[in-house]
Amino acid sequence: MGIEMSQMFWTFFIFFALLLVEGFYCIIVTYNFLRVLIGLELLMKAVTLFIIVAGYLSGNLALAQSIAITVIVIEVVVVVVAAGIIIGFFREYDSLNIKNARSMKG
Amino acid sequence: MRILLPLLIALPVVWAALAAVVYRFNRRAADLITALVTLITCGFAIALYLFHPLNYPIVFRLFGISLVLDGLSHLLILTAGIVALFVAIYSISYMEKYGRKDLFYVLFMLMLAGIYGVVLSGDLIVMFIFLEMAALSAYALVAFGLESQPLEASFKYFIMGEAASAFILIAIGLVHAAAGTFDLAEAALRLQMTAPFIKAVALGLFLTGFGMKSALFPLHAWLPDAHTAAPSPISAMLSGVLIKALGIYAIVRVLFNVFGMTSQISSILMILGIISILVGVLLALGQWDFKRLLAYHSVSQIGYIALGVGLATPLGIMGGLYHLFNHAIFKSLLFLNAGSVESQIGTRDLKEMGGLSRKMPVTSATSLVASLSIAGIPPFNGFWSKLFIILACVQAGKIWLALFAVIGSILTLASFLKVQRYAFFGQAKETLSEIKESPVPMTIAMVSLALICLAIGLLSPFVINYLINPAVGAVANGVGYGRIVLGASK
Repeated sequence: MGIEMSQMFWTFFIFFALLLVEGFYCIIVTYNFLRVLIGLELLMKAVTLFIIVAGYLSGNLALAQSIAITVIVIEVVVVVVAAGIIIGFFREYDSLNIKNARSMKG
Repeated sequence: MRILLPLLIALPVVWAALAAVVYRFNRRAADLITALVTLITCGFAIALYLFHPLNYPIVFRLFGISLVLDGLSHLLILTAGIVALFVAIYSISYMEKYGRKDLFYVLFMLMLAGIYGVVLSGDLIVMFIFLEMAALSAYALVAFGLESQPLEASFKYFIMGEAASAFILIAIGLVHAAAGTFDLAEAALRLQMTAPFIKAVALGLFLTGFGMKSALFPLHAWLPDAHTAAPSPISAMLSGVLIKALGIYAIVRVLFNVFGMTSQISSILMILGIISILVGVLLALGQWDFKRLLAYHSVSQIGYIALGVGLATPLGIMGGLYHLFNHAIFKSLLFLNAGSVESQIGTRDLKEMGGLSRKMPVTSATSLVASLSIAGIPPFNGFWSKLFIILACVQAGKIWLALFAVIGSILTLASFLKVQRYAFFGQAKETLSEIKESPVPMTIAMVSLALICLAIGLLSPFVINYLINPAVGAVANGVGYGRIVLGASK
């Protein structure tokens, strides 16, 4: 790895790590369904960035970029399914508070 | 025979696209075609066993995407085909009460195609796409009841499942960075030269991600909720096939065939397995919700599979994979029993049941077969696979693991005696005097699965010879998988 390449790598890598931690933090601390979903999206964005980094490292950037597009398409479906579940919740409880979701225990 | 591989995936996807339209015009036809599609895919799996030489993989390549069928994926395809066939027959009457059967069929077919895709794909990215396809349909199917419990369970499953997917995708990125390829066979060849640190990180991420999908011990929190709240046929699919295809199969494929098994990974798998066995069965003992009890037993039985595979000796792998096949049959039967009871008396609470053996003789008899199988009573199928796992522990000199596995088996028997005592035998409740047996399609599915349980138990040597040993051979090839698959595709 040359010096320029190494700098590029670390720039990408630090952003990836920050986004990943932010995503997990967002999922863990919030009590709102939509914010959990947004946290999950941050997480997936971090992972997409990492795929690009991986392609850059292996010298296969074009392949990695096409994979990144595929991952983005998958994410759209993920958001649709999650939004469906959240709408169902909103109809049931008239609120987006996760603390309502406590019917299953044991 | 190669053309059957893409057809296995394409057939359910095509029917998923058409099912909603056909259902609008003729409901009966939609029911029948769904059952027919699952029957055809199951027939493909059997045909491939009959007409293709053992121990040699079939590779289908199109546009740089490869589908690989070796012994291990073949076993999983047969399992998925059998369970899906009887689940489809069962759903014909069970899903009536939910309405919108067209949506159910669309999601069910997409999930089936996703499972076949995960098992057949010879490429990490293609595997990931099919994994997401199966998992996303599973989230939607768990929430199918649209009440507070299904929605809650589905959201929990969704968050944990997607976090697992993120882990898996990071690991795939690491493999790509290290080996420069997404292809499993090429990665198996090139990863040999990779630095051990990168391999260890990627393995840890894979193990976390797939462990979450297969509900191994510390990551099992989503499973009891999802299995309880889902419609019963879907619980049977989730417990019988999904956690195995997306979890155990992927773990075995990546650990053994791509990275190569090491003694550290082996001990991690064994420890996770033995903790899963004990935690699952102890949590199950205290449950009074029929399906929740079965769900905790899934955690416990997945532990047996992980223990057997983790031993990494031929006998251990054989026991683990045999148990995978057996567990798919008897656990899906048990969930179908639970669904049958629930749809007839309207509750899952064991305390409110009693004396059902006279009112529902078929459900009662088949659940007895399945209970004896899961508890490991000869001559039913569960006995043989548990015996092999325990013998493999002793053979590998791990007496303590064997002891804990036996304890887990005894506790399993105890909790299923409780189910039989409270639900099917004992005093009949007066409130239950009007109860009748379930409709014919549901009884057909349950009786067939019970007969398969008995047949596998009695014909154990044949099953091991023709179904399990090719799978063990594929796993035991280790990283030689890469060379064999690349050789077969030329």
